[in-house]
Amino acid sequence: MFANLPSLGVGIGYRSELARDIFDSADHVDWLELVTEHYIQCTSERLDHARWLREHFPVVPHGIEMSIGTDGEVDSAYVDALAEFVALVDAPWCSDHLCFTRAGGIALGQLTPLPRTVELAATIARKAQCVQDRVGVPFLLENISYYVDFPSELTEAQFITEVMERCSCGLLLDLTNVHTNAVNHGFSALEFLTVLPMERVVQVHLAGGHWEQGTLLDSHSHAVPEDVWQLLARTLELAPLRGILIERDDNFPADASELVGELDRARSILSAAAGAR
Amino acid sequence: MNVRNFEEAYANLLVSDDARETLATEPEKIRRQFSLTDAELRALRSVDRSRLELSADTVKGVRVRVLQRALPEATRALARWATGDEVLDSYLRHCPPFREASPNRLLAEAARFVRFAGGDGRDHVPAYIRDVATYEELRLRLAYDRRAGDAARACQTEAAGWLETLVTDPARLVGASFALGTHVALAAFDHDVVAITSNGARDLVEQHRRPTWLILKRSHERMTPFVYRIGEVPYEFFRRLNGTTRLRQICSDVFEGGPPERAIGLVRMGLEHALLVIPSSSNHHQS
Repeated sequence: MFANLPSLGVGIGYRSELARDIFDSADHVDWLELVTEHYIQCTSERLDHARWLREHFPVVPHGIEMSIGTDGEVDSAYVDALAEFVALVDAPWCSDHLCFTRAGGIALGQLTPLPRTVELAATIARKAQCVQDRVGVPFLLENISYYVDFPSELTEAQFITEVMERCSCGLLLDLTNVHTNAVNHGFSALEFLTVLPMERVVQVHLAGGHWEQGTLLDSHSHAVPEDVWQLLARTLELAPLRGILIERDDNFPADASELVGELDRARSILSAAAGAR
Repeated sequence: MNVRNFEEAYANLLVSDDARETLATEPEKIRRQFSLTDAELRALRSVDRSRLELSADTVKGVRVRVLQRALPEATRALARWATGDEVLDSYLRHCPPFREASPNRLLAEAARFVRFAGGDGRDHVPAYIRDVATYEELRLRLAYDRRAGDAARACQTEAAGWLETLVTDPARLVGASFALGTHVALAAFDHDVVAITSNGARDLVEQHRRPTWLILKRSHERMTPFVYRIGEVPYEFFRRLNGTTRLRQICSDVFEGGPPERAIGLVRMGLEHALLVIPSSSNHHQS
């Protein structure tokens, strides 16, 4: 299904705080992920910035505000703007989260878990398919981390699978979220992977969180933990990955060495997996 | 399951301390408020309270980080204020993140805080922090307004023609009408917000308590607006430029019927700095 997609290698989520490190270490960075909302319905300067980044790296838009899980249709103006942005940067795919961020006039600004029912999975699959058809490139849905879990008809892995089986979209598997949820909700991350349709995984996210009040938080503020590196190795055995991406949103390292070390480590795991095939 | 009702209820629980308390003590109230079924209410009630609080704290944390990015000096000043934490907490509790006209989260949070600081929080937010927040929000609004960028570009072109008129036939101007472009904003403060923000709000506030009139202009080349200090009279003059009132009338109001030279001087400044938008076409035929 995604056989024609390019293999982007190992990239990093672009943040202005990391701009200098990214360009100073450009040899270690294969591609960038840009936050969609920073570049749509925006000023011409922002679009120039996106074009400029695209001149240096392949770029993939990654959204946080589509809120595909909100009851009702996805905002068509938003999807049109996303399609324009995808075309502007010639993105091989784009992504957003399997969650909701808005409800009842409240803009939570936070990726929030959904009630996991078959009916909702079907609705989301239909909406995701519409998005993909409109943007013209594969649209990936990402699993989120959550601290509150509602008793639901489906497990998280079943819910994701149900969505994937009802559309032709891809999966952006956030391995740190898998690890965080496994730790906080007491399940096996490796078993979680066996339930998912791994052939649909196009890209992975890696990041590090921290502990607070006995809960592991997905804060993107620390180095990628060892367990997540092991999940990456396992994922590469199961999925035809086209991109690995490191995310950092807080507690930015004083110099580029930590992130470069993570990029290089991801690349070496990727190479080892390719060699083993 | 009714997804709409369930999501609405959960979103409210995440942003309202009162709603979480009500869920614990009077769940039926929550059921009625959001028309929940037994199963939906049970699902919400089964949630571990500490995890629910943690999730709510996460939402607050995101809002605080967005606010800090949107209003860096105002939030820094607030953090140094004796009751700053309480004010911020009160803001988060009393101003839930309802969707704003702007989809931009920075703008939405900044506008929400400025409304709070001038409204419910007025007695608790120091006046200089209110001023700084208003100033930073204005700058942000100009920076992110797509129409402002376009207006700045258009204005530059039009200004050249009118500057020529100034040289050849200055008297013609008094019969014309001008307006500030959408890339320009006027603002008046009780504190010198420019000095406060350029000093990182470190100086004694009393040193900066003085009336301050500003013009902020977004250029087409950069998002960060230029800031011009002006006096009270020029402020009044520019405030009255509305695109329909003739310069002659404004002169009469602001300069009490004095000679138009001062008004022409201000128009010249406005044109040279590309602050004034295209006058209506009828202006070109005024004599």
